[in-house]
Amino acid sequence: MKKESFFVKKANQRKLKRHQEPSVLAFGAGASGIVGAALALMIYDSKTGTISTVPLLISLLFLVEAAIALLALLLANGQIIKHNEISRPVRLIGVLLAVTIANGNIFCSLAGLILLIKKKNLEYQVGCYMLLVEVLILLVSCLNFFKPWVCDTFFLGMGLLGAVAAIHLISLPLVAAYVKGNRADKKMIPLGIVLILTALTGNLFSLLLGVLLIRKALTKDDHVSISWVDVIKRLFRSQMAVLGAFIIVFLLALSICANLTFDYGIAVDNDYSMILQNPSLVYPFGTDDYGRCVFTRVVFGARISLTVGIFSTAISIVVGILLGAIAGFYSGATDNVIMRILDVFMAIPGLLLPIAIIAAFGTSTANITFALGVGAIPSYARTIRASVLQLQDSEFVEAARACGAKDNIIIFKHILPNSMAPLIIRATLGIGAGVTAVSSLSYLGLGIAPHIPEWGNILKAGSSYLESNPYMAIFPGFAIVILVLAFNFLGDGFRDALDPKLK
Amino acid sequence: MKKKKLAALFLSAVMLLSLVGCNTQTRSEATGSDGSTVSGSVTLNLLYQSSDEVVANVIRDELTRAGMTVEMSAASDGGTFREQMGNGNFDIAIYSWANVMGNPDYSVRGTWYSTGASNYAGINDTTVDSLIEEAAAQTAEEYVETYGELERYVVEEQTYMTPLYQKITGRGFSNVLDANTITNNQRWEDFSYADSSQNSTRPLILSQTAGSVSTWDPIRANDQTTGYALDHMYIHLLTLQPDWSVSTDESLSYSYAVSEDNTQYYFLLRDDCNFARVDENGEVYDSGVMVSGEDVVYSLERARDPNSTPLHQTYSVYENLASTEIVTDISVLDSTMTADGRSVREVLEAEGQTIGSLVATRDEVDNAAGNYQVVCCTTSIPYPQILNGLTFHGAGIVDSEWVEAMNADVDVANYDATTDSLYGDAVTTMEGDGYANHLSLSGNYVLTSMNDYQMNFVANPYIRTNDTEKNPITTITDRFMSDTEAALSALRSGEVDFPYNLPETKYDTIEQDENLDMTYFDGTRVYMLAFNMHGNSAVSESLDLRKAVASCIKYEDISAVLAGNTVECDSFLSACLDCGNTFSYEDGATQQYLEAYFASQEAAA
Repeated sequence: MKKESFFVKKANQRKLKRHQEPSVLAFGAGASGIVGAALALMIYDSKTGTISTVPLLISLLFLVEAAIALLALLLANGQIIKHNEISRPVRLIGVLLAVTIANGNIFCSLAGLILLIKKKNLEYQVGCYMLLVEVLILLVSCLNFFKPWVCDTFFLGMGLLGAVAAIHLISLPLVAAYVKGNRADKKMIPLGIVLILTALTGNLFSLLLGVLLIRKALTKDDHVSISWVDVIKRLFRSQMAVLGAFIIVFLLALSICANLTFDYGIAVDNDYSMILQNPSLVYPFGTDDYGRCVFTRVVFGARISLTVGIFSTAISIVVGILLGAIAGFYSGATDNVIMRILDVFMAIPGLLLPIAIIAAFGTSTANITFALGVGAIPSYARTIRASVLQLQDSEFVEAARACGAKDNIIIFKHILPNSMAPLIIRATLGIGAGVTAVSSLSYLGLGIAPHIPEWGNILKAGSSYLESNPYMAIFPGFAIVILVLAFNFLGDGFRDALDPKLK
Repeated sequence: MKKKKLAALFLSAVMLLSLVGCNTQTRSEATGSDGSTVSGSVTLNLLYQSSDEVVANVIRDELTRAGMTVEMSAASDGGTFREQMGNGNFDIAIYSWANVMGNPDYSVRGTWYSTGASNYAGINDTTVDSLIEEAAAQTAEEYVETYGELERYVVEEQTYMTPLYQKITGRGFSNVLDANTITNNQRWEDFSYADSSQNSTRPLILSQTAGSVSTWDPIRANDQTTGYALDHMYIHLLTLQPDWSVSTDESLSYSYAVSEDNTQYYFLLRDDCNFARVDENGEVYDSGVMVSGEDVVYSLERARDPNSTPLHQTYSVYENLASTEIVTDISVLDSTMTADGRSVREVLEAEGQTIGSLVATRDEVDNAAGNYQVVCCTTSIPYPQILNGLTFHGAGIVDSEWVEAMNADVDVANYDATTDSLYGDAVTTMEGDGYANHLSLSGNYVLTSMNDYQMNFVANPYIRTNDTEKNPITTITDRFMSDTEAALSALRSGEVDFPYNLPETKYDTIEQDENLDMTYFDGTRVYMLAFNMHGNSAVSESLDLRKAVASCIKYEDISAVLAGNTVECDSFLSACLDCGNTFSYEDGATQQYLEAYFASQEAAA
């Protein structure tokens, strides 16, 4: 009896595992439940003893939506165990869940979109994320309606964003219908081009989808799988990794679109009549000690954090790859000279080198990027050198040598592409570290000028009001945590996706 | 069917959005224009101490709104700030001055006089100089008008500086201290615990923002926090009372008298003070050397002479002090009259002393036997405000033979801080291998040692030995806490009993804490925006540009970001004197002045 129930349980688990819906729904229900509970903490203001209605409403919405997702999950699980498929009425709950994006519930909304369609391909999933990013940005921009005024380009920006969102919405059913396995319909090429163009809003998912469509439409033999597509496919299997990617893409897109839909003046101009206001609809994150909107500052702050994080990592990757590859390939004296110099750099403690560089060359975004980039070179060089040393003795390199390939061809065509996996992982984590480093420097007063919105700056301003106005530090701090976590999740996801043992 | 419904839903959503959109103003609709009516560009470099970052941000904001570009340069500490400002590496600077003496001359002589020791803005105007001289020679009733004229000239007519705000000083302290003993001018000799039995057992922990002390020579320091310590380390001819009046309490003199023409100032000296020194173990001992007239003469002569020591910081306070000498001819005291018609001798003896004979040297002094020392300070012009100057740390009485011996072989003109050592070099009081405390102190408290974190003081038992009650608290530790937020945390956690400086925006936090007390005083520190008058900046040349900047500054904005803990002021003089001026600019003045500036620029080009 006991043995049989164990067997049934295993069989059921296998059934559930074959479907994507249970895990996505569980994640949606759980995550929106947690967000709802977290929002509930903000309802009661212990100082004034009042209950604020907006957080209360949103919190309730999230909890109700979590309950709906839970219900859908239970129904879907039951049907999968019984019939090994989900019935149409249950799938229609997906519509209900999909519209929860209206109050910003990306978790339930995503679960709804996944639940809605029976036959899902990778493109449909990417499309869902692409759409959600766009809609969420529209929603966040809509918060500006509560402001006394909006920036001059606001309506233009909203119109453009609306159009892009409409294109994304339309493309969803199309990609679900016209992409089969490794082959996409040739009709998808124009759509792919349009989607790549909409990536100008910073929506990297639409870039990915566009490239996927074109690549699959141009494929000659659909029995041969495209290796990078497989990596993406595996990446999209991990909820947390895609969530990380989603957050990064969202912040990137937001920092680009904010130029059109947000008023920079509200972020930098002091408003002496609005000093230290608590969060409200007009000022979602409250105002700081100069009466500036903390929410707008956080939105514009993403720009600097991301730029410096990404570009400083780019600098260290390029230089690190070059030095590491040369050191590993030529070994001997060259190796020794390069690595010993890098060892010297490595011996200097983390933030000290950037501080020294900034002290010498002055503070500017470019200098900070450079300073952080230089500091991280040794670790990338070491990573690459280790891979190169390992790959140098492999057969394909020997084959290339035997064919008379030149050194640079061997390095750049044969060795480096095969040693990229650890580098990509390190880079995603490195960007996260870069973001914290910029914030740390600003926090120390060495980074960006105090009035320029940057997360570290905002956090620093808030740190002296922790007791009386905690929101000033909580929100920018939360933003930093979220972005760094997102990069870490994505990095973990890449590690799993690129690991041949986990294929 | 389904698609139609979706389309209808979408359309209604669009309509709803556009409805909201119609009621929403864009920035240019709401503000009228985009404000770009200025026909040229100005870039100004704003220099400030990082502790003044809040106000700097307000000024940046106001100037930016007026169409100017502001580059911010923060100086991490007072020394760097003064160096940058003195070298003219700025266009505008947030310059503050604390009048710790309570007389108007001190507010302006150092900061506005062409040769003033703290004239970092580079003001060089004979009108200013002569007005300062004129006012200095006048009595309190007369000088109000003269100072008013000076203020109008500097602030309104020439706009060398423009007022920002005056601080309200909130003194927050642990309620282990007796609140009645806390005064605005930081008199350690008054401090007492609420439970007075703790005075001799519990060390009092203070904190201050300045962390770098370079000297314990009273005339070589001019920053406020070193000044506070110096006030207590050397005795003075007069002291400043909590109400800023001048008195002989806790001073070296029994009494003082002023000649009728306000040029001679006589002091009858006590004989119960000896210099205290510190041995190699940090223990205070009695040097056996009496603080006498010779020391007074030596101290004040070197205080007024800019070349008496390298890095002299305080001479401009004593510019009008012509000479100081010991009076040996007793008939002078009888023949010199004071303003109220009594002789100087009568006034000096009013406290109960009877002068039998006047003696010249410390060996002959014996008050009990009637042998007294009288010192006379003579000013070059009638200058009653010298009395306030004598309470300042620069007039602290040092050990003449001791200091002379230590500074004998230093060449003032070719002083090199890296090799030459002077009396008072703070490095000698640092704990560790180099510790060799060579101070000889006459004040209420003796500095025994210091390190990178704090200074240690003990009450001086060898001065005013005839007084029964003095210096209630026997041990005081003064910590270096450059961050006022950290000082506040330390105060609240009980780590510090009394920090000098607290963040203005946090006074209510202290008031709400049941373990802390708070008292408010009109601050002595006035903040002004100084223009670069060294001649190497656009603002040096153009009065229009200075006025354009000045007209942007709104006191209300500054007050708002400082949580209202400020007082409106007119100039440095406001700390001790209301000259009756009010300065204001009409709306739109900034644009007019800017246009005038641009026009003159074009004309010049």
